[in-house]
Amino acid sequence: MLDVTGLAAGYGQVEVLHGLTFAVPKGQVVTLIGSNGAGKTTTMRALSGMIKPKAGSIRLNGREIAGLDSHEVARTGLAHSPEGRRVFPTLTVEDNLTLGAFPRLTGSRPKGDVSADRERVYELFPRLKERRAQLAGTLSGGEQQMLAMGRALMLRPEILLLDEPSMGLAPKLVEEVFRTIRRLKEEAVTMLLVEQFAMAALGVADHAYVLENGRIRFQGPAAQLRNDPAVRAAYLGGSH
Amino acid sequence: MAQSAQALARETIPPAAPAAAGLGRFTGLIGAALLVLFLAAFPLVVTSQYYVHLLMVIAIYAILILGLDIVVGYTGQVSLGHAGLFGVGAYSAAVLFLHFKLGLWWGILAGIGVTAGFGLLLAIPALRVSGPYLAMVTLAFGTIIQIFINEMTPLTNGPLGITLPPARVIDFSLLGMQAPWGAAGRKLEFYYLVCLCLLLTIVVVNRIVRSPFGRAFEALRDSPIACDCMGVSVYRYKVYAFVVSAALAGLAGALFAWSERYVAPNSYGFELTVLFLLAVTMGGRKSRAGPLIGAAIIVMMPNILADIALVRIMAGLIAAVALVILAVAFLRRQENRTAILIPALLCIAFFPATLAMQSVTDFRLTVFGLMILFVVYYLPEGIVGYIREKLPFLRPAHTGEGTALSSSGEALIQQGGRAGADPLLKVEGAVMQFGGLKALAGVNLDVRPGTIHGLIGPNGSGKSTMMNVLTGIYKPTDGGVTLAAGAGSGKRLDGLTPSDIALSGVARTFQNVQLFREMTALENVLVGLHHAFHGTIFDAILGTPRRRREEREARARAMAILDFVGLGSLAQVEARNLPYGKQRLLEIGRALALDPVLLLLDEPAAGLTAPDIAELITIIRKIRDAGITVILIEHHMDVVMGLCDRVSVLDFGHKIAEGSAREVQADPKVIEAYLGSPVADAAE
Repeated sequence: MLDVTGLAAGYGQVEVLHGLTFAVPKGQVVTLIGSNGAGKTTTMRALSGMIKPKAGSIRLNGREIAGLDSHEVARTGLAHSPEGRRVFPTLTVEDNLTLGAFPRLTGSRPKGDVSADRERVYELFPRLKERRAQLAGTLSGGEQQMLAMGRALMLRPEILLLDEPSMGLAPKLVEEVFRTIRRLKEEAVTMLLVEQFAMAALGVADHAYVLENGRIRFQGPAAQLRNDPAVRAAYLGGSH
Repeated sequence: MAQSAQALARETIPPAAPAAAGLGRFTGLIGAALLVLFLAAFPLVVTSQYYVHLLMVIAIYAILILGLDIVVGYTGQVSLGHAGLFGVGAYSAAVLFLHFKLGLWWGILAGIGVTAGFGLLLAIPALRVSGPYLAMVTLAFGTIIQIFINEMTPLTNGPLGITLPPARVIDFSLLGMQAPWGAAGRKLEFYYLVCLCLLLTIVVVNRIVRSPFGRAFEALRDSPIACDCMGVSVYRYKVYAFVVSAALAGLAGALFAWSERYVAPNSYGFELTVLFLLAVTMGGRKSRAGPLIGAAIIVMMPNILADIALVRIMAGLIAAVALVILAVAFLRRQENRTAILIPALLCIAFFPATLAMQSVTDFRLTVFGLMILFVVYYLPEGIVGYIREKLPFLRPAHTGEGTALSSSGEALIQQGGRAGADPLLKVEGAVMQFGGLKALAGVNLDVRPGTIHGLIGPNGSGKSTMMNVLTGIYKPTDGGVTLAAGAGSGKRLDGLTPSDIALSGVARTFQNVQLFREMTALENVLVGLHHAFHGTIFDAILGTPRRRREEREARARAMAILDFVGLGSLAQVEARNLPYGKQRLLEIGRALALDPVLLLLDEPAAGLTAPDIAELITIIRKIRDAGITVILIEHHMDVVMGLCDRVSVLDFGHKIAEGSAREVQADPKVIEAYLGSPVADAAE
């Protein structure tokens, strides 16, 4: 599905990623873990075209997407739910969701039935249905996170990038986010996940890559990394 | 292991000041020496009066533009009235001569004084509100002042203007002697006076921007809200910046009047304002070289544009350069070759266009407009910014005195003597209403001194609103906030401005990091230490011993604070280049610089991974041990449970539970509203 080879990227003169190679197979959940500053969010930004890679290739279903602009990447079916949510605060919940389908309506991918997709998102997040006419800026943090995920799903994505979906959420909502991720996984949505709760992320993922200093240090089946003493001590801490 | 992970995170930070920065430290000095040499030698080499005069105009414009850069580059405000201020300065000097026969020196003093006064009058109402108001008010001012000069014939001689005699810099006749350098030398007296003024302006601007004032200007641009919460009043420092800028515009105006020896109302119109802004953006903001380059361009350009032959030569040169760049890009198959295709082709097409034209004077404004577009599109940081980006070793080292700093002095001021049963902070019946929504519906809160008080609750329960009420960002609809200040007495905080609350000893961090992004870690902490500076702006300009001592002490203290939060080795890294976890720690360090009695931490662990959280917990404990009371908003329950002496739980603006961490955790209401049932994967 997604094949990344030798990805190098950064900001201005500063290179943050020094050649990452990893893959997200179809229908699987892959997680990137690592300390703050290891380059997880930068990887997400490079994949979705928010920053331009300096080298390397990013292939989605065999098609090269490295170097495309964000809106072009979105049209190829890569949906990005960014860190810190970033919903459109002055639009209603419903309009936010409809906009999520916009790239697919203007691209070459199958257009499909937008309102049916919206209903599906409402089914996944009943809270959003209750608030469909409300302005997104007035939602609580947890609801905004649901909206950001729902909006990304409206693209009918080939792959869904989730950047820190639980950041700043109450413990109860963190559970709910992971429940949703698990449910999407059952529906065979391909996902790339970056999470501060590394343990929980490893619990839901099939495969994991450990980033360190802009390079991949370890990789393996998530269950195996979860029990690896070196990984646990360095990245997972005592709890979580 | 936690430490090794931390060390790894540190390695990912870019080497901020590479070894070559040694040269950067001398860039300014070398530049200044070259400038002095150039200005001194120019009239000796080029004897044409015309070119000496042209250079003088460039220098005068540069004085104004250096001042404009303080407003535009440092505080990030837009002024459309600097041509008007320039005119006020010029007319102050000219009117003084017309009515009182007072000469150059009085004119300079009056130009500076009167224009600074006008600047103050403009800034006080216009800067009270944020947004585009300064631009609108100054635009109106620029237009009105021109009409005013035109109409006030008794004062200003109306549209006829005022003619001045040759400037007398030093009146030797008063001493009863002849000028030692003869009649030919006398013509250059005024030129050298202008050069001296330019050099003095550079020194003054340099000193101001490196002083606490300059740091305040930059801080209020990067994050006004954090600036206020560091006890630095955004409003007051915006006014300072504008008045300093106006004073320099007045100096430039007075010099301009005496250099042209004629003032007329229509010389100070809107077109000139646009030129000044163009000079700042084109030259490069936040630098001394930028305004000089910008001034040279805007003065030379009309002269070049007046002569079609010169324009053709220039266009030919530009076309040739563009052709070479394009050819190289395509031969080497550079990645940006398509991106530079359009501007390069436009540059090339410009050459035949000039050949076809008979005269360019009619197109002057069009060419200026195109230049603005070109700069905004392709050189957003201006010429100096572009050079700094391409040649990093020319970048000035961030801090003149900061290279060999080590920490000395205490990081934390012990806030002892307050431990007791009486609450340090008392919130009584706080209500905060937004339209129909009650974000806080009458909350009482007692925070005991020397404790860590947790504030938890679901998203949207009112925790952040409470934070904003405590720090004065919101004025509560009802209720009171009292901070114990010494024995038995209390200080009401509600109704005070954020900066006053900060100076009362309440510091905070922000849920979404609010650092001064373009400033280094050290400078961020120095903004927090702003309260430790007592020097006036004249101390800053004159570089008095008091100013130097205060700066030295503050820097040592700032280094100690950075060491305390574990950022000692990153002091010279710009905040925006720090990894996220370090940014959070820097925010805490900056808040500690206020010497707070009460520190409010808004989700300090959000987005941090486990090893960073462990480091954070250690730091918060040490802060409490220094006697600083902490209020902690946090969703990571292990952080809350591990640290908090007492926890309050909010839900829908009400306090639903309070007690020790353990009690709260077992409270069924809290589990229902907030914690949820324990889940295997999240709690592991």
